[in-house]
Amino acid sequence: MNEKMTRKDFLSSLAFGGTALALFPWLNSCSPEKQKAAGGERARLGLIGTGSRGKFHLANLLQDPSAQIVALCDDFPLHLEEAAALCPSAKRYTDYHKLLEDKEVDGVIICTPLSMHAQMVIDSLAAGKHTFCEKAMAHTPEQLLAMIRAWKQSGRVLMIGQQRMFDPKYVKAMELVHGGGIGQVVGIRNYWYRNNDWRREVPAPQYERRINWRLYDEYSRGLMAELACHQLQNGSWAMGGIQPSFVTGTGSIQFWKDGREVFDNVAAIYQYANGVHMTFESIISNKHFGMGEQILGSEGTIDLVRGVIYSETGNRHSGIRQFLDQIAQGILSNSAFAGTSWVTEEASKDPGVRFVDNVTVNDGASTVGAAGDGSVELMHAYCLAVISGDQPAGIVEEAYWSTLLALLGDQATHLAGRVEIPSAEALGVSF
Amino acid sequence: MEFVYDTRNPAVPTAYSSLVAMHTRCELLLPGMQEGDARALADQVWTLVREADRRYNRFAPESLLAKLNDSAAAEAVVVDEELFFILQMCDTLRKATLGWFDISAGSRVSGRSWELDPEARTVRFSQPGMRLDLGGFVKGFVLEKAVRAVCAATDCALLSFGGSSTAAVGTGPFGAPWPVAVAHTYYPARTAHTFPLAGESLSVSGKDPHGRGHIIDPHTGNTVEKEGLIAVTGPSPMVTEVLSTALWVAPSGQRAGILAAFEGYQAWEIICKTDTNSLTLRI
Repeated sequence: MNEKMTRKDFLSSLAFGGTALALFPWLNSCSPEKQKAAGGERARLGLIGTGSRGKFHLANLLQDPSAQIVALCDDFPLHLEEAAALCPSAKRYTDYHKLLEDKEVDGVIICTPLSMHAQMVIDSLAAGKHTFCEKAMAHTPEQLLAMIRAWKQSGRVLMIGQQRMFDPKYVKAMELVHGGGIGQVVGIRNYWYRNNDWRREVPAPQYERRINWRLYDEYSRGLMAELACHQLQNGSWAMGGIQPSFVTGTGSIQFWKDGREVFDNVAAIYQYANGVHMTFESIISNKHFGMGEQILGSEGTIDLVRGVIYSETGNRHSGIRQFLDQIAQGILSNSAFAGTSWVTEEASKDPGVRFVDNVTVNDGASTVGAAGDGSVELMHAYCLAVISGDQPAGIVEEAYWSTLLALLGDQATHLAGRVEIPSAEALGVSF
Repeated sequence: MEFVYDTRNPAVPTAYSSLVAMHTRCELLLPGMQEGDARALADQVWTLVREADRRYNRFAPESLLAKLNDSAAAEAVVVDEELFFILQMCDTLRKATLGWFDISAGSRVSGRSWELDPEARTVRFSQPGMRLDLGGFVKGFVLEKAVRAVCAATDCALLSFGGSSTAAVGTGPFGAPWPVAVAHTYYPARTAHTFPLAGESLSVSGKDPHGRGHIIDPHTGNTVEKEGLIAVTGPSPMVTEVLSTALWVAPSGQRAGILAAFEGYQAWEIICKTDTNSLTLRI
């Protein structure tokens, strides 16, 4: 928080409007009413996993008036020391079970390698702690189901790090989509290109797999879990909760042949029952196009990353609309719009319209997190949920599907084929 | 659907709404109405448009027209009252335009006709391979329905379906007619001719000089490639739509004769030159 920013400013900057609250129920978790109910109370939090993502959240939480970091845990001493330097008053643990036994911890934040998420979440909920876990939720579909069961039995809050759900430009974009602003959704395009090896610096060779866990199958699902998981949620959100029927995909290690096991380029296509396709492509040896997420509609296109809406009709200026400006000035002069029938089959030259002010464009280059990407709002909502004990509606469901789609997409890329996506009922999940 | 309510002129707050349908953009301007009333009226108009698109889009397999096209050569097909009325109107207008407006023109089948039985409310095609295309006609037909709906709510409005079919309800908001200008085909920002519209409609047919023709000559089955525009004004959007199409396709020598059969309608040929000039000739 900026030093000149008051607590009131901070809270009001996180409030979403009425339409968004009605459409996307999880946003009620940081509504003005929730903030008021929390009063001056602070959520007492314990952070498990103090690597790059953990420290990113820690830095944000230290600015949040509703958060108090009371405990830190990591079994990698260097990371623990770095986090403790940011938050000297917090207790330090090297065994997460000990942190879970700490009675001063009300809520846990888990930022560990993917393969550890499931057991840690299950243990945390069983210990009676409200729990936040980074995305993707799980390393396997089986773990995912076990986490959902544990959450339902626990009666505790569970939130997952799908920060786009709290990013104001995504919220506004989805308001437009659900309000018919781009007509019928006919396609969803996602891509994420970088040009780096996705490696972190390793202090000694024996730490390679531990620090660079993202590159090894034992801990990671590669680009599908770490990148696609965020973008695939766009599909669930835009399609109103309808999930794809199947996914086809392919992938390979074509450039970074450095001993890694996960693919350095993947492509996956998800098909919905109504025939709509959602695509995801990632290459990490070319960054020209950066990160892109687009919802294509029969009447327009929304660029989620840039916060811009394009009209299918925008490439020829409407004369009738010109009359609006004239009437506003109290005149009516001729307006050249009549002619041969206007048709839509032209490539758009529409410069588009920004639908949010002061948009922060994330180019996707950061491997930790980006300013203005919804992470601050997400963690604030978690703090309020820990204080109230109220589960934010819909957030686990969205995260569940994002992870499942990512995991099954990963399977498809390894098969270079088609993987069916089971319905919630078929999996025995009640949502 | 897009809806804008502009209150910059407090004396004449104005609603604008648009919808992409019928392969084009439909627009509505409603000066002087309360926002809620304008929004409700726009919804009412767009419901009419969507419904017509659903029923008469020949490319949509489930549309009434597609089903008719699939079956009417094999057997007499019973249709509902509205579609039967449309087919009767098209048949009447085909005869009145000496065959230059013909919804079966794209069939490329010789000796084609369709037989209407008012008693049984059935349609039967004379030849296999026949296809009816209601695209242009339905645009005028729905615009006419939309104008009726708008007239019941306000005496000041402007409707445009794709720029080729425009209807003015009453005069403009300051008392003078709506100044609707036909764009120059080579220089779209320039005006080729302005039509002051008050309580009447304007339809323009022709070919975009940069594009491919889409109107078919009923007598040859070929796409008409000639240049120039035909503009028709008159009380019925449905008739102006038909007349502008027929007069554009018809040979110059037959145009005045065709127009004479339609009382209350005027027509012009607009010739746009590449040097930015244009010429408007009354038919």
